[in-house]
Amino acid sequence: MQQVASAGFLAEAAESPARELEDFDALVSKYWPKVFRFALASLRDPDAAGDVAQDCLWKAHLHAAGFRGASSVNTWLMQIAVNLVRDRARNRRLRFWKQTRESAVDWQELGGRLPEAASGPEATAAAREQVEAVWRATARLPERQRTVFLLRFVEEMDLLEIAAATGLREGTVKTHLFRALEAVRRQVGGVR
Amino acid sequence: MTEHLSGKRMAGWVCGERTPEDERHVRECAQCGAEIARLESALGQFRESVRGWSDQRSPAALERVRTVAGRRAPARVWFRWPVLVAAALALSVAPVYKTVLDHQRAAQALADAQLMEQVDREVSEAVPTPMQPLAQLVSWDSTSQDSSQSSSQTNSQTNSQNGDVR
Repeated sequence: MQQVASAGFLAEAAESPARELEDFDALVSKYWPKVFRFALASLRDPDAAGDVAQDCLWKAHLHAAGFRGASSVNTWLMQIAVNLVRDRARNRRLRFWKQTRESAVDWQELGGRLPEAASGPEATAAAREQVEAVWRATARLPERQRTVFLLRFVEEMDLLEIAAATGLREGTVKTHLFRALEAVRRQVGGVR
Repeated sequence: MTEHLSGKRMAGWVCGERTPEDERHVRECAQCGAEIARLESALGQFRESVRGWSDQRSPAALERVRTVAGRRAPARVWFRWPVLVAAALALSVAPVYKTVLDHQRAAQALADAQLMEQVDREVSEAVPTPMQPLAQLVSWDSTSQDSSQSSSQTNSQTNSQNGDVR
């Protein structure tokens, strides 16, 4: 599955990636959901996520000529998004609000977005509990761990793609990912 | 049975790094199997919840951004080139404009100086008629020859008027 996705990205990169970036409307149509989702999961603020997604796509469009196709358009966009999210997260004002809102994520809303498989009150309650646990764990993760975690488990990027998007070495990505997973596992109820 | 999977090996498992030994252990150890299943399930539920949340919020966020961009995009997109061209033109014309300005200033300074000289000259010449005889006694010009001539003329006139003969 991942190999298929990676192959898709490579094929995508092979077919004139700069041209894809030049058509702003097409760029938005294709990549907005993905960039917005990553920003939303990172910042937990739909407005801020919208701004990040807009800035990300606009920057990519403006610098289309500078894109050499060393990575896929998707990875390149995520690289821009990672930087924008990091800048936002470091903004003092936002940090203040983030602290006050950290526990204010709408768990009901998130729990209500569970897949159909979680049918039945008990299964739904258990699934909701799990989702809340992962959200809490990711909220407490250091910035890099959280970014790597989200890119891997929400965006389903492989380690090399994450390394390209974050500017980290593959080994460092792996270390961050394992630490993040360890924290999540404990929160979800790991015994070791 | 080998010992339970460590947290690191479990993380590796979830990330797809599975040794044959790990696979055998997870098959045989109900505890590790259950824990991995719980973790994988939680991660899957989390992914679905994020995607669901994002899918729900994404259109509104895009609409908001488009509305805001709609107010400023024309300025950013459509007027971008004219603004850039105007700026480039202004920059390229600036040195020429400065030279012209310098010339104008120099010419103005010269004209001012000439005007002041003229004013000085006219003021010096603008002696009231009753004072003309006195003015003629005073040498305004630097040419001593003229002044001595006019002075001698004045003296001779005065002397003749007074009837003095040398």
